[in-house]
Amino acid sequence: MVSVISNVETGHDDMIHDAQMDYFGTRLATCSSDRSVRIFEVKGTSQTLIADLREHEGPVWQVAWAHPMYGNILASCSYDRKVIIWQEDGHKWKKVHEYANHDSSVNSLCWAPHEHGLILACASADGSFSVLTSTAHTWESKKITSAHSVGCNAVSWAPAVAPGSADGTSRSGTAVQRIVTGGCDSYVKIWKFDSATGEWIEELKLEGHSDWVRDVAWAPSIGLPRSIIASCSQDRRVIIWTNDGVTGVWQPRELNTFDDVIWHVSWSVTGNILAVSGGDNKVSLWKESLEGQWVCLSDSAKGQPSSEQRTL
Amino acid sequence: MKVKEVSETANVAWSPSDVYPAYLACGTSAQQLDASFNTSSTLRIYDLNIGQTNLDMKLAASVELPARFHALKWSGLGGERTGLIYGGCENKAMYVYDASKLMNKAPDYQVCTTEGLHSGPVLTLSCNYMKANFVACGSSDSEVTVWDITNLSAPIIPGKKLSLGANVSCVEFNRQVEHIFASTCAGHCVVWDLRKQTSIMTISDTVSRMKASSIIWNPSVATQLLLASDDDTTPWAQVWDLRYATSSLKTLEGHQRGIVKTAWCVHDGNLLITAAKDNKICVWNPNATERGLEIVGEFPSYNQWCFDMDWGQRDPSLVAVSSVDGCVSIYSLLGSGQPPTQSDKFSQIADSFPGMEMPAVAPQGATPQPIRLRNPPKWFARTAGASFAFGGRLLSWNNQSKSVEIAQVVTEQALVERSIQLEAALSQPHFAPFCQAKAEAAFQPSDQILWQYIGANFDSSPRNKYMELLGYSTTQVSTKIHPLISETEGFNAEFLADKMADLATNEGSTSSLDPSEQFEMIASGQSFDKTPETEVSETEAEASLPIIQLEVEEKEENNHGLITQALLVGDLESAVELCIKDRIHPHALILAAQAGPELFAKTRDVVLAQVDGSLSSLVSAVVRGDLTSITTTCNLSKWKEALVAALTYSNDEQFPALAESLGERLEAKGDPESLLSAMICYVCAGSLEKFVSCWIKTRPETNQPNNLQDLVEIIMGLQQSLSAAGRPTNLSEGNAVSSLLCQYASLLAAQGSLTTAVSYLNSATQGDMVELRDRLYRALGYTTGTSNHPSSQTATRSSNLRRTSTPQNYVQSQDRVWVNYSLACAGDLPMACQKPFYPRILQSVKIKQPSDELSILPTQYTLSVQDQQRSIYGDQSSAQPALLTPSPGFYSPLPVAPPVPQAPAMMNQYGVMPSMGPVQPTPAPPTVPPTGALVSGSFRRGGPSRYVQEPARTALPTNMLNPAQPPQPAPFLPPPSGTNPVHLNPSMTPLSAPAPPQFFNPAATSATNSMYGDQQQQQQVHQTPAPPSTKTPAAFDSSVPRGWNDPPPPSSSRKQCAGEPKFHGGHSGDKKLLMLKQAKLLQQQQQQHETPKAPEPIMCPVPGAIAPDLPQQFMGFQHPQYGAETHAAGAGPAVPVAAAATPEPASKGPLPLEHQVIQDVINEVQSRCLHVVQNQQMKQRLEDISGKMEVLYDKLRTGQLGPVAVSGVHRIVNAIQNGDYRGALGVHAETIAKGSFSELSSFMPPLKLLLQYCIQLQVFLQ
Repeated sequence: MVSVISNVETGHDDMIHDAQMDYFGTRLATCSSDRSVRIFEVKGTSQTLIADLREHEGPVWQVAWAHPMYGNILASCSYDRKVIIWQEDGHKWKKVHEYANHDSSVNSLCWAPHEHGLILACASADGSFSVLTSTAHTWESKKITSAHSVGCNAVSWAPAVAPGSADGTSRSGTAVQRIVTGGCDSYVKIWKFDSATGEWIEELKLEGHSDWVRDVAWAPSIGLPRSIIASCSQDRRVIIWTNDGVTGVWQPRELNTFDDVIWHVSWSVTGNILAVSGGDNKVSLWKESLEGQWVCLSDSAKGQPSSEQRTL
Repeated sequence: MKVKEVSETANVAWSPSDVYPAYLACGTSAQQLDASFNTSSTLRIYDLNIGQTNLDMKLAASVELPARFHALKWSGLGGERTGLIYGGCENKAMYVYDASKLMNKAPDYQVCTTEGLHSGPVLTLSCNYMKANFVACGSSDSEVTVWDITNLSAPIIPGKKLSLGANVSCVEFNRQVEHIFASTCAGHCVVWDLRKQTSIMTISDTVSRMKASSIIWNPSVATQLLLASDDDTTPWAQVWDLRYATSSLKTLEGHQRGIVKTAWCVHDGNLLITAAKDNKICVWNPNATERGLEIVGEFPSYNQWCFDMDWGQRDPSLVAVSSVDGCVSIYSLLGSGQPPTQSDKFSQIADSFPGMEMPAVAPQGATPQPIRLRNPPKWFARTAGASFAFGGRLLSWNNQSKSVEIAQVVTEQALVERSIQLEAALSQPHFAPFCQAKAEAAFQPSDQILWQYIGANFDSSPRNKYMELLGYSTTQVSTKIHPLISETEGFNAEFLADKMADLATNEGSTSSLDPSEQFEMIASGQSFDKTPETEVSETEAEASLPIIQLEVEEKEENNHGLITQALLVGDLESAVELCIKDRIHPHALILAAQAGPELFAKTRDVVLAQVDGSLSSLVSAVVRGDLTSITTTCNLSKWKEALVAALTYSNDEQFPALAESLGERLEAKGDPESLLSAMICYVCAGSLEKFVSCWIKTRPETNQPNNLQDLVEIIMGLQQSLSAAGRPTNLSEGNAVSSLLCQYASLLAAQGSLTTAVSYLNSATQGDMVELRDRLYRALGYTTGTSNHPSSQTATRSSNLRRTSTPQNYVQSQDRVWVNYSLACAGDLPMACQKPFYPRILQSVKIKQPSDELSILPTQYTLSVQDQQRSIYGDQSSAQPALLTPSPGFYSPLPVAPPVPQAPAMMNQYGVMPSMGPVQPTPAPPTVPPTGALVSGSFRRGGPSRYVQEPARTALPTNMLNPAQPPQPAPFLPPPSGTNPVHLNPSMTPLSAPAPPQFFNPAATSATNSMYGDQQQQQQVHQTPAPPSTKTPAAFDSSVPRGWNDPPPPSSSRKQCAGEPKFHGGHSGDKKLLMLKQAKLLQQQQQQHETPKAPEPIMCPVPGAIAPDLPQQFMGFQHPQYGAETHAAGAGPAVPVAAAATPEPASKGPLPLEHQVIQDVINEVQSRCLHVVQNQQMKQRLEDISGKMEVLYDKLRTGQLGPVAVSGVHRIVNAIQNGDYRGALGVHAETIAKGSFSELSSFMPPLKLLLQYCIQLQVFLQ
């Protein structure tokens, strides 16, 4: 069911924190504690390093590819409190924008659905998140402070198809911009962009975790009115939040309590499979059964769990 | 910056790590006095209130206690989940409180106390990290005691009491070894072993003489500890390792004044905090190798020193700090926090102690810097992860290596396997075996049935196969009928009616033995009765040529005498009336046929009205060619029969609509069985879109991969079968189909089957599909034209061709979807879009007709037929044919009453048919004297055969007749097949000139050869008047292999007359199969001539009778002047006709004023329909309607319509204006019933269609 195709030797000098494929699945971006971002061209089982980006001054936590309609654009965020937006110009990758308005580590970033425009959200340990919008020639930023006390760990955009419009007709323009964030206050928060005031307002606070929320992931729309958010936490649990699109209520369902801290949740492109990964280096895949139960499709352990991870 | 803050002068302790939410205990400190000199003691527990993004904490518990605290600890070990709070107090006692009871305000919150058991105040205490019940206390006078709180009566005094007489400033248990702890007293550190009950080591810094006042053990290295000095002269901290205890490993220097408190992070041994009297709180990395770089961070300065500190147990990023200014603050090591609200707090203290040396007031508004650790804490970084990528790829990484693993996730193994099978089947030249296999393997009977129907199109004769599946195998029925037929000779309507009744008992099977066909045969046979060939070919007729009895006597029992008399004088009308009166229907009909179409139609209707029973309605429908009424009114339980009828009588153009309408009715019924039936209808009709929407009704959960796969298999099967039938479909046209395919493709893509997925999207034209296709192309590394990928363009696969497109197509359409963004590299976005090319089916057929005994010159006929996309009916350039075109639903026995200016055109076309054209305006049929030909038995002789066979023998229309089917077996091929090319070409020639240029596209034809199979055969390279020499018959033949059963392409079929087949069908059951084939062939031929030639058989008069009247027309038939590409040359008798044809439709006058409303209303309602219609097919038909309505207008202009028809139309229009479509339909039916068929047939069906569409689309004029 899960068959290894290839192993990309990244050549990083330190721990890898993130790896993301671009929209087409042909390029791989990785980032590491060695403060670098690397981009590989992946073809079949071979891969070529095409860029080694060294502008960050701290561990780089995450990378994110923009939708290709905007060009070949990659964003990275780092412990150095910066977000850097890189763009391929010709055959060369270079920094096109740097955002350094956070007081602390920028932990997570996520591009908005391309329908909204070239917009990047990033979450920082200073408890705030920022939304950077590319306008014709510059980047405008809006910082939403005190989103999560102690720190904001993860951010994810809602798909552009608004809940309740299953037919997908209400694409951007009418679709409300929403962001979900997860923080050290163990909350998952949903933010909505109020186009009237131009402000991001806290729409909902989802309580369910009992420790740092490490990652949140809003599932891609699969054409149904309902919305799904996955969140994972230091409390070793993954919660699936489901909004049927009718009542507007977010129903939590605990996916599982794992043996270790869960670092990441990632939805498949089609939005039906969730990959859960955590401190024990295990990756498990989950899928919702017809009965609405989440079942584990596969569970793979790789290596030994690191001894120094914080488990509770 | 602070995360939280509370005004307390208190020692602090965090709740244990497993308590949620986190609490902070604050016990009034014994060492500090606030300005009020209050010495009362309070223990408060605060809820961290982390959810609120402000500085406030929630008070969870508060109790007054007898003494203030020197030390406070909160341990989670033991029975109580919320743990126990230990307080070392000034009153020489240690207290143990139950935290949960405190918070619940239970009175018995105190667990135990060592009151009176210490010699001095308990200055310090340490809870054992592994054994819950042990706690070490340090008091004055070097007293160190370890208590078992479950048994306070037996304190452990570890070893000999030091005789230093000083206070014990700190005790601390080792983190890893439970029986080891250390204490500091008078600058010395003593390590105790509880097991041995002795001190095992004393650490004294003999070098720098640092006096240790506090100890903290390394959380991860058992033998290491950190000693710090609160002496301002030695403001250092030293790391000692007990294994090398001669000197310290490292000295942490940085504070200017004595260090009050230290804390070592349990989760990250590289983090150590020291708080000193220089108001600084420093974060160190005690393990830093490089000297001077140990300080990794500093807490924001609030200009007040801190005397107590606790590292968060639950959240290691939080540190609670108690400062002497009476403030307990919580800081986050990660830098978050709130802007300060009480920057002037220290000034209060400065006021209280004016003598003290206090720092200057901090500048107002200065925002303290957040803590910024040089490196992230260990617990902060995520060390492993996994993320999905396009194509079901899963990336994963962890701290075990520096590599990223790429894996393929396949969650729908079954789907992938089935898709591979489907792909394999699709790549085979023959898809039929797959259908068969599917049918055989089907679990559900419904699937089996559907697959059988889909497979039917791969059969050599799909229609027969369909009928067989429906339970009406033609051969079976033929066998049933054959004996009956062979008993009789010749035909009469009653006998036929008996047969039909017979069939009806067998579930109303429809055969091709309908009366009209017979009459057609009869009529045509009669008309050519005198030609010698007919005699030869018609053997059956021989027997029925007996002596003609000319009985003129009038008898009582019947009117035979009168009839004979009437016949003798040529009063056919009276004869017919008499026959009807006598109920000699066959004779009546025969005579009427002879008399002319008008009379025939009238007679027929009367006869049908007289014939009783359900059968007559079927016969009526069949005769009128009103198959629509069969499919729209039949009892749904007899849907099979209706479908069989449609299969039998409709042409390929008409059939889909019929089957579809039947399917719609069934679908509307909604029960599972009906839905299945509806799906069968849709399969037969080839209505993918409707099929899919119906299928979804039966299986709502199409998002389940297996169901989706089922559906896609059927869609692909249907598509294959349609294209095998010469009706290629574009899968991306319909919404339901394309969205399903998109869904399917994305599902496949998610399983990593990218190449397969992309093959379903090659013809994509819509947003989502194109987007997905683009993604797949790029994912597959296909060249997309960007500058980045100059790789070779090898993307086109044969399977792509299957779905008609290539990546290049994609590339070019890409930027339709993605706007070029300012930030985007321009080179990345491929430019230009081009729709996939579909050979549009403007057709031109060239017929090479060698000379034969009819002395037709070897000339070439070129005619063009408009393609389906451009409706000929609505097309201006083809206004003329539009008028001449019969409505699909009706057979019009009479030419559509052309308006005067167009009469010449008619003549031109129907030159050989004297009863038409010029004859038409004067409907009175020539009074043909009765001849022997009228004897019923002779009706069968084969005029048709002559016309068919001869051209066939001379290999005339090779593009029409399959070489594989020699002409010989087609003795009954009805006249039009042979005559049409001859008749029609001349009139068509002018039409070919305005044909659009794209029409001529040999490349398209060849490129799509494999896909479009049969269709291509019809697509001849069109070159307006091409010289005959350019096309030799051989070349022509080879390029046009044609199967007699090949359905015509949808394009041409649109022009076909619905009622035609029955007029040309055979008249004998045992020849039925053949007739069917011929009917089909005929249809094909007819489709190439968009003019109604169906009337011919009926019209065709006895040549001798008519020829004198219209010599030039007849000559036109006989002579090859049409062979000349341009008939403008006045060579032949047809010249005036051709000349007259040119100045024409533009000069149409307005409608008579009283009728103008008709046109207005119809145009209005039609345009409204067009406005709202979504379905392309419907739209097409709607557009066709206007052309057809021209016939009505023309008739109105010329006043050709009878009062019944005129009033009927007016009433219909009136009803339309009132929005009463049901009423309009009622009037419609009524009008048809009452009116003259020939008058109405051309425009009433489209009018009805328009009404139906109005209902369907909910279009109203109001």
